[in-house]
Amino acid sequence: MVVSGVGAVSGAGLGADALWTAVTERRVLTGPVTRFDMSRYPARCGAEIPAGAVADLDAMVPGHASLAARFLAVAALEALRHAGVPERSRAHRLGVFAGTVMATRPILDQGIGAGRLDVSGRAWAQPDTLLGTLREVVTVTGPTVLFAPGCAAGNSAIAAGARAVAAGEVDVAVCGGVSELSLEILAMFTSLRALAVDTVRPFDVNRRGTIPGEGAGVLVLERADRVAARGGRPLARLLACAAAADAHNPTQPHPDGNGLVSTIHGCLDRARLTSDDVDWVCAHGTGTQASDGIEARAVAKALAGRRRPVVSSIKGQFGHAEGAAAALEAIVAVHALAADLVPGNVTLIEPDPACGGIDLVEPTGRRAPVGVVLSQAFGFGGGVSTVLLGKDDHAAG
Amino acid sequence: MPPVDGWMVVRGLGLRLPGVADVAELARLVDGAPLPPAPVRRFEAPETDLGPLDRRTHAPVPPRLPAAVAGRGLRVLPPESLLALAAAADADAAPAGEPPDPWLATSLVDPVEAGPAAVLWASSTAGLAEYGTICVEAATLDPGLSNPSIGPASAFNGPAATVSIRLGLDGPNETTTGGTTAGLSALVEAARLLGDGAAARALVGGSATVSRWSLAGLADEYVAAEGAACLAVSPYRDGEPGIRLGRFRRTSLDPSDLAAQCRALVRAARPAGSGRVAGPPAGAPSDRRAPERAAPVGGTPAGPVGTIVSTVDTELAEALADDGTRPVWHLESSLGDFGAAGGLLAAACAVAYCASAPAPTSLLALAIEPSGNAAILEVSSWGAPTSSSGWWGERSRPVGASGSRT
Repeated sequence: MVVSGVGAVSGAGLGADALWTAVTERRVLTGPVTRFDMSRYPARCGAEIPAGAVADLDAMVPGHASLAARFLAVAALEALRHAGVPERSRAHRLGVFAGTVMATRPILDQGIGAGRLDVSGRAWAQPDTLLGTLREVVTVTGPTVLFAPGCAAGNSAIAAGARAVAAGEVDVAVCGGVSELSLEILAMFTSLRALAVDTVRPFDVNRRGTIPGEGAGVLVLERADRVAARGGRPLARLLACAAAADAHNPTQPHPDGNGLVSTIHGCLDRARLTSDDVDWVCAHGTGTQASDGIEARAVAKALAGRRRPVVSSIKGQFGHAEGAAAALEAIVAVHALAADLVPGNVTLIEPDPACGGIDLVEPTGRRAPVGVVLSQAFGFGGGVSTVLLGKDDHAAG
Repeated sequence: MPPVDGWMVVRGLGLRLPGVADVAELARLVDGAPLPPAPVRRFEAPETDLGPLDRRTHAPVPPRLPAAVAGRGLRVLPPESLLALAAAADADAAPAGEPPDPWLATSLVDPVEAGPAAVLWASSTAGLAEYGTICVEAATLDPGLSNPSIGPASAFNGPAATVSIRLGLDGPNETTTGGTTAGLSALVEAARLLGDGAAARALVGGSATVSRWSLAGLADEYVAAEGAACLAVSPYRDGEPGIRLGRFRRTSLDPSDLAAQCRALVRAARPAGSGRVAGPPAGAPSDRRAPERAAPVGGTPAGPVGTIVSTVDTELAEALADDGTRPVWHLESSLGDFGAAGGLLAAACAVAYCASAPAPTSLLALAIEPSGNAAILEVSSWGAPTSSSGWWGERSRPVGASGSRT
């Protein structure tokens, strides 16, 4: 199973290359929210898709009340073209496996003002319309499946797409995650006192919370021989996927990170690798006080070996893009494998001693051979989903 | 050749549905028994410009949580999560060794020792009222004054999370949403998780609740449905008695030609030469009922005796029924519109029917969305012959020996 194409919409703008360039240039893309009136909120930051990029969508995909629907369609088109898979073909069985947290519900946010909520249309109550724009620009001949398991959604979609390819259900799996910045999410995290007022600082002793983001990440999965048959070169191999649940609390990870440990072990067992084979852990790392510490301890425990696991989170740069986060991180992992570059914890100033069991990558990043990357995600509800990606011997550079 | 997804066997079925007390009652409903007409209820969303709406829907379904489910903290859970928890607890409660119903599989001597249990749940309404409430409060309250317990419940995954947390199930936890195929997709994903060893058993459910918010997402012509159903499943082992689920197929049909393509999809699900008509009626209209009501017995290679379809397209359901060769029972016309849970409810209805009919009996559960997204699976009781070929050109796995229920 290989990744043959990637596409992204992120705080860096349109395109997977823009995403990776922002990573390597260590740009921090969180800032004051412009889409909503946040003047009364104590924390007012988000990681928005730049307004210019949103305007550019008009020339690329049809309109839709849901920005997320358009993000997903644009990322899918980019990924398919990157893979060399025609988006308008009935010659192959193409399925779509998408992950989301809120689907089209953020359409409701557009009616939030002073006084009564202004509600228009019905798409906000019809989650399947999230896939409407994609269906307009891509000929889908296989299933479309929408996953909403919380913030691990992108990895859930990748895993399901991989299973569908392995089962012979589809030839091409368009897998990804998508999210649209939501005032509801900002209001929720405000009431939970979980928002950082300025910067997300994963694993920092002074981390003060997370900052919501948005975007879409799409990966095209295929069997390696299919890619080779058309003269293509894989970007990376999908070595394994694993999922579990903390079965503990709706909003707090299990103190021992049980679900995460289980998925890390599951991935390594399936790929027949050991902890020492993992060159980079692309952490969930939301910047919240409780979550980062638990994640660090769980990773240290699950990957105990000859060296401390090498860990960084890109949420310091891109905020927490929720439904899109895991898929965007998987794309960064694909790039890291190709470039032999471990992205840094860009906003890290003072590592939390409680995270001492892991090797936190310095903000500048680290040039080193990257052969295997573990990318993990979890969220409210306790669902955990982890993917293991590896360098392909014939990978495109 | 690609592998064929493995069959699953049913270990339990939990129901919280209006007017349906147990599996036998659900089977009678599928067999043509009437459901009391749904009264008109009024739904409102204060502080919004969503006006009050009168809609046919049954009275709220009480969760009736089993005593074994811990009661602490349940009051803060949304109604849909409680319904899901109750249905899942019932489905998971079948005791090992000596099942209460002869149609339940018993292969897992000790389910807990067998390995991780996955939870897969389909819903399009979970969290929607909570999401709307937070939006209203964002417009009317100062920031930070929203109830902190509401926000985390405003996503789709409340039911799956609640089932996992309350029943202590630490296997994969997934939620599917979207249109009616989401419920059948939850079963497909469960089969694959069981097949590759990621889970030893799974609770697969679907649920819906009715609010002024959710009505916007439902088709106008049906009763707005509320309730939950959950199937406890594990991998099928050769010769094991019980009810099996398998031969899944998911595809995209051309929305401009749905009726013909759906008929082809159903025809492809039947074994060659199986022309016998038997089984459930075609929903409410008596003139579409099958002339022969007795299910096939003794292993006659009859194949699926009917189709239970979930779709919000009434004309499509009628077109399938007009095909004439097999009865079609339309979920939404009888029980109402469950949104994303519809496909799962169709499968649950098929399981209930198979549990109540003489074995072997086989039915198809089909879900079709207006976009053309479609999913179908076969539900069959012990001894029921299945198609000779798999969906992707492979031979199906062998099923158990023919014979009557034990």
